[in-house]
Amino acid sequence: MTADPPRLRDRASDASPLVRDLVESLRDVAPSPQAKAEAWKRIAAVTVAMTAGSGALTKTAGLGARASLYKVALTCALAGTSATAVGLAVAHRMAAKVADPSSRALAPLSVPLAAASDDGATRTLPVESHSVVRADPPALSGEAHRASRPKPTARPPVQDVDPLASEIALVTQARARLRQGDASGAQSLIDELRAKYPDGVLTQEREIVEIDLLLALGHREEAKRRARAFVDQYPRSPHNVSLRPLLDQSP
Amino acid sequence: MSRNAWDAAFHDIYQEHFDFVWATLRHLGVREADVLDLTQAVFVTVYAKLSTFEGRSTITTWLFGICRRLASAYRRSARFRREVPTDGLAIDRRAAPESLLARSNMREQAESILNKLPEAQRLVFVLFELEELSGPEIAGLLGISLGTVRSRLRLARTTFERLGHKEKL
Repeated sequence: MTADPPRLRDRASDASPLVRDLVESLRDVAPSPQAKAEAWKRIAAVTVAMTAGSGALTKTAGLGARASLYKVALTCALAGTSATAVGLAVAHRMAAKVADPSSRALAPLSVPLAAASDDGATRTLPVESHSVVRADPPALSGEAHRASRPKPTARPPVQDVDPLASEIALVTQARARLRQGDASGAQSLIDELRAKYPDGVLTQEREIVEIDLLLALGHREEAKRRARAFVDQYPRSPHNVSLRPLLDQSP
Repeated sequence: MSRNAWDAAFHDIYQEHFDFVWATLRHLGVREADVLDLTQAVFVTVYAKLSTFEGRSTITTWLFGICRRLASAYRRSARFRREVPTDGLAIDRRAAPESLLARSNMREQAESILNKLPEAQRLVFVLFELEELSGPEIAGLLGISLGTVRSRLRLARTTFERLGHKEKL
């Protein structure tokens, strides 16, 4: 077996100085220490929720996992992070597929992507949202969850989540654009979401981003109108808690 | 594994490999503005799937596989907006000293070339030139022969070099 060629950045390679510099520049992508700490805070919020209550998501499937996902969803909303929902929705899909092929209807409730998360701080959900979330799925005892647990091998591979991952990526990016003040960028992503996933898993989250976008653009009345329509259409959505302050404002 | 041991293991993986995941996602085309989000997604997936990691591969191989799948979905979703320039650069530019600006321009250009490589070539290029894996390691990771690794690397290098010099002009 012949040896590998020298790497382009090595002096021993015959790469031109320009190519060497280009490759070298690509290596310069280290995250800031703040990014590491920030990401950990958000991830920890999710992982704690994943293992709370009815057992670790990693060890469950079916009903147990689904129930714990409501808790995940809650924490995600409380933490006000859009990003963690990407992983969450992946996890959700893993659980949902095992649990029940028709469980799609549950999905919007259990993945409140970026429920309150423009900046993660100003619209933190109040604690009462526990009851909102818990009102839907009955809490499962350890027994019930063990009984309903399929074999661990039933867990689908990660490849299965790709279409959902695309939808999640779009929602995440729309929110990122909004955060950066790029309203037209956010709007075009929302339009793309609506076109590609008219009945998507994250339809509610798309609506919420759009309401936030209207607010950011100063269209408060239109935002309120949309928020009212949202609450009417999804009376049990955990997002409603975060919409309440807007709806309660006098005109 | 007890809950505490589980969390400790996860925390160790995070501490040890956060930079690797971050850099890998960047090299796979995730833009600066989105990389924090995607990094989180990778680690939440890691947490959920820690029990399925059985040491059949190295931890970095496993992490790379997760990064690859998420970045690939991300890139498909972003394909309509390829032309959008990297976020935040315009802001950085005004304040950046010359050398920083040059470096950031250089990286922007290199990323744009990387984005033009066909996916199969890009993977081999990134793994060999940036992650500095060996040919046999890459073959094992991607499930292709060493010969294929070498030929993809050759093609990727040729394209990278050609585009590098072209864009310079």
